[in-house]
Amino acid sequence: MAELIAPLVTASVFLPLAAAAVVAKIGDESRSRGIAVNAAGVSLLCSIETLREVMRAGGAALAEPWSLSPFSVGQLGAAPMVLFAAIALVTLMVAPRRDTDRRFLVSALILLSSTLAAYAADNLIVFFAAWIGSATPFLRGTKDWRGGRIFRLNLIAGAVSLAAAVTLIEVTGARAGATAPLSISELSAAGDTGGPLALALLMLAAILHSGLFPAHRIVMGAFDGAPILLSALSMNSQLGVFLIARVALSLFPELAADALPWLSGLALFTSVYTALLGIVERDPRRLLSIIMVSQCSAILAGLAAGSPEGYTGALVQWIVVALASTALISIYRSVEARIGGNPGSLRFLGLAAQMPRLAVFFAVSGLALIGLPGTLGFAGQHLLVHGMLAAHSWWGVALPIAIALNAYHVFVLFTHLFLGKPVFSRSSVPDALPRERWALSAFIVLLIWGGLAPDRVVALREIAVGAVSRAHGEPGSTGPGK
Amino acid sequence: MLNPQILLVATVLIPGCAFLFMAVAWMAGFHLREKTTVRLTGATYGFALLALAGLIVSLVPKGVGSIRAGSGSLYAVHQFEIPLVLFVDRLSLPLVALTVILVGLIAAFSKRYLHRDPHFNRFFLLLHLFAFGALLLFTAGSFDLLIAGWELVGITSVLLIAFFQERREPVQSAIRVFVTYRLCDIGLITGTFTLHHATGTTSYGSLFGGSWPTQSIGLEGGVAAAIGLLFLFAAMGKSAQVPFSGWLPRAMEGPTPSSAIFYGAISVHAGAYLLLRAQPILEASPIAAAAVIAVGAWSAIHGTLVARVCADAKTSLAYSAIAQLGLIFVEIGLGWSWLALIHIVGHALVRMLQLLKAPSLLHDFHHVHAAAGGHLGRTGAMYESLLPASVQSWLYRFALDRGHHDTILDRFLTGTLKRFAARMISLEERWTLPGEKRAEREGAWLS
Repeated sequence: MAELIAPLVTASVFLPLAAAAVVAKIGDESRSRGIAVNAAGVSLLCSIETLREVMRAGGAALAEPWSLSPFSVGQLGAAPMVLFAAIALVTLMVAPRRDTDRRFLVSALILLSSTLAAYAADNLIVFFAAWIGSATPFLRGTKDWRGGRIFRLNLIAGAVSLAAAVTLIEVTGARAGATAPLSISELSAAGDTGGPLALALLMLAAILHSGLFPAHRIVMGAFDGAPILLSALSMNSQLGVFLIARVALSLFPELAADALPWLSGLALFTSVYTALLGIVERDPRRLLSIIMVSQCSAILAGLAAGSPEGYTGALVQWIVVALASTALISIYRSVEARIGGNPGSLRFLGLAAQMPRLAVFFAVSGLALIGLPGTLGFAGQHLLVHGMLAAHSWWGVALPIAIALNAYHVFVLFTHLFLGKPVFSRSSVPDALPRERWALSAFIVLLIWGGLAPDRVVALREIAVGAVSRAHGEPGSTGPGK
Repeated sequence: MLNPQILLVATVLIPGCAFLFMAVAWMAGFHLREKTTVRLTGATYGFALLALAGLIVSLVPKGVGSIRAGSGSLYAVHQFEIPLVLFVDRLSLPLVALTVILVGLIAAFSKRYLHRDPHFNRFFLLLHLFAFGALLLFTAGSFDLLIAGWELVGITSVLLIAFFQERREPVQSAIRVFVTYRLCDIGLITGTFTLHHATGTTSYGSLFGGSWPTQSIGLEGGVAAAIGLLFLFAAMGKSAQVPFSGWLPRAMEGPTPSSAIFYGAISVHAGAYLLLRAQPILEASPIAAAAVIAVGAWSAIHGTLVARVCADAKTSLAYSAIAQLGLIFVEIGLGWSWLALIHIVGHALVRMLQLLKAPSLLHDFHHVHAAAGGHLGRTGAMYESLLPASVQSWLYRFALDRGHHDTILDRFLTGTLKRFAARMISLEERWTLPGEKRAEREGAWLS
């Protein structure tokens, strides 16, 4: 297997972890944020370089230059690494000062480190450890918020389900004579290792993590109780989607072909059902959680749909949702910090008069999320809808309905937060601070650049789409990608 | 002489560039002065008009066939691609000309009308985006690209309705219009997909044989009916046809110039344009054509009745526009394509003038009244007075409640969905939240 020129993946995974240890140790909060931002920034640079090397290698999986490294990254993992490192960096930069206490920074860094590890893991145990790592920020303090206990149970159930699947796969792989029964690339050659039970357990873990029906309400609860920026970051890790794309499709090519249409159907149902619930929801945080769960379900629905337009749409929409929802939720949290907390129930706050730039950032991100032409969201939504309708002629219509409902929710949020008669004085609610302006501008530029040249983004995801297609058993498949 | 392809691309892109310039300048922290915005706008529509004139001069001597500009695709995946091709023919050229000229006129009108308005630049920013979206809609070479223009027109329309953002009513009206647009866009998206699925393309050049209005398409009846009905659904939303007509009078909350250009001239005719573009599909399906006629006739009667009981000028004009659009739909359903196109152009010009004059209606009336020596007689025949009194009374109540359409939609569609959603949230929270926490949430989801 070809190798990276330097241990870039190890650096991008362990730097945030080391930074988390330093932040946990020192007491100075102003320095802590700087350390966290710098660590996330370097992690992003390492991820970008990893992606560049993978692209230079034609999308082939690359191992690290030291033999003990459990990481090996292909195009399917490299692009999400860059994306996640970018949204983690922006989250850390934009987070209001009142949020950036030691616990938040450590949690965000652990989440970043473990998510990158999951994307780059070639070993099931490492993937499982990374999965657990990504859940740790939410295991403490759940008693304090409503629905917290059931949320913790959901995390534990997902982890147990994944542990059982990994054990089953390992045992079956060892029996089948695999020399490295925990290596995803090796096991994928054996085909359907672990049988239908292992696949069912993997799918259950994905359902619980992605908040598919009936776990949607539990996942939405995290937006209410846990720090909203951390919840959004966790949702945007899309580990459930990645589990299906990287592990389930690789290890169960035959079984997945029969099982995935069901998963796609469940994801589609969740997308439209949660969007429907939003029409009576008046709590802005809940409404944001509804938009997130609905959009993330649509990504999973597209990925499992079994049509090339569906996979491409899902992978492009993954980028859109990550960038746009991070911007939306960061802005919302900034608004909360400025006005002194959650407004509770939607009412016209008229904040555009005081914070016109944040209003425009919110509007453009929201419009990108719902597929405005000229933004990357247009290509993502368009492909996703085509993919869904190609795969499921009749009930695929549910996706445009879900998109329309989500568009309504985004618009309602925008109008209530930013339009109407101003209720706060100008001095109490300042507009975008420089750190917010730069970070959010970068996302807006990316979303618009992607909208003006969507072919570049589609091409960027082409190799990953090829990997998913091959795993779906498309003609010309030469084996699963990474 | 300049290449007509370049002229076509320039006509469409010039307003888009003006929008980008203003947006980037604003984001970079520059506050454009009114004078600068006015000059930029003047130059934009001056150049667009020149490009259009060149396009017309190069096309008309050849009998206005059709030209295509651009190649390649926005993106391509597997067998699906969005061709990046602009297209102009006998149908789109008059509408492109109408858009450039009328948006230019509206811009000239607005520089005085909105003088010293705190949101002066925002109006022009959205006007440029609208012009770009409308031109893209009319010159798109495929139904997929048409969707892009369609949605840009929709979103600018909604943002301009909420232009006076400090007041609650315009914002609420904008939400209502947004919902209607997005709901009906489902018809356009699924119709376009079905067309792609049935024929493998959505490009006009590959779909239709011949030149407008004598084009044909090789689609069998059932598929043609499905696509035709889906496009009709989309057109009903954009052109405010019954039962989705309730948004149009609400849309008058925006500034008068935007009401005139959107709801008098260009935007409301986008639905009619879609049906004219899809005319071969309607011809292949008598069911879809009959549905277009039925919706149009119903809307024409509805608009005529309601317009007569409206207390304010702009609402009355909105319902009159619905009535005329209904007649245009009937003409399209009957296959009278040229008549429908002429009707669109004529209606756009007259209605825009009426809407621009609406704020000074009373002044004009008194002026004419005084000039006539104080003796202005009633105009028009009131044929409804020939009906029995009980029918007149019923019709009056029917018209006063605007055909009960909004009431029916609110009670049976929105109301049912809201009740269902509220019930589901209640059930879900019963098993995810402890009792005391649930009590805190009461009222947070029931508006």
